[in-house]
Amino acid sequence: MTEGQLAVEVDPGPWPEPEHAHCWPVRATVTGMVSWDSPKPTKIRSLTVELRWRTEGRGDTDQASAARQELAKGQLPPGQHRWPFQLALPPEGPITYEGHLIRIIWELRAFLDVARGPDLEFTVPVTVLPDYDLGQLAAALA
Amino acid sequence: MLSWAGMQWGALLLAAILAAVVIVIRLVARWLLVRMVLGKAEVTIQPQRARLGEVLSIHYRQPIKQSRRLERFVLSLICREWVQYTRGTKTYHDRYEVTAAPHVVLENSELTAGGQLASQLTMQVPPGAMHSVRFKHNRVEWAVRSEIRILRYPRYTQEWPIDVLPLLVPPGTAAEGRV
Repeated sequence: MTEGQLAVEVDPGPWPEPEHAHCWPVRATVTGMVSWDSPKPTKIRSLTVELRWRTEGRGDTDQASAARQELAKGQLPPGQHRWPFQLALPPEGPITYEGHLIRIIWELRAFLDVARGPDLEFTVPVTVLPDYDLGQLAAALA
Repeated sequence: MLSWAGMQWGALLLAAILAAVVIVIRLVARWLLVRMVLGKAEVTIQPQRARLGEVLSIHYRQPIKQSRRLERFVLSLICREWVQYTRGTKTYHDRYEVTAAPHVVLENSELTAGGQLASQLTMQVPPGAMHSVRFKHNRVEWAVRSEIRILRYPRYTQEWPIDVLPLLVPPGTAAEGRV
């Protein structure tokens, strides 16, 4: 049995409204902190955090990992550990979508691959939105 | 003596042959429509890679070879979800289509040989829509579609794909479109 608590705190996105706290535009960088708190030392193969999407709906599933970062590996001493992360959303999307036959769902997932014991994961749903074409916005505002 | 099961199979075979004949007739009629009544459509769409909320400029020209009665000529912007799924060992496809900007160019008119079907218009990609995606089993496709109905001919449609990007046109910068 793996003893400890894995958690992810995601920094708020660029929009100030609380309901948009977990929304990011394509091309944005999602930042936050992964924490691991355990009273015992834990030997792990890796601790990773990734941004990934999958389709749901009528069709067979398509999925991909858009960005991935390895935060730690080896022996984790007892106590609380925190690792910052930053993951870039791809410019080509896809954006989060709720269609008639297709849904596209994004999530941020921390995965603790434990050497001897069950693995642990923590997922946070995120919403990816289209970005403003800032080049044209800048030109329009000039 | 023919058994009941044999007669059922015979009826099924006859229905399949009839369906195939109908499909061939429709394809031939469509070919005749294109080759004998209408020439090849020349379509310019600007931009080819559009952002959400962007106004597309569409220029359509199609020569008329034979005089006919036109019932309807519609240009529209369509967004189509396409999915592929497997059940057991079989693969199926399904699609769902939304017409974003239908525009009736002509209705109940006479087509005159030597003339042309022509239209220059704008259509806006809805700002709240989905951009183009093309995965193995799931796609969202955008296209400009022409639909021509000529009296006593089957409906004739053609599509010109466009690529919609996951980018928004900043508010106030897009020209007003005829949506």
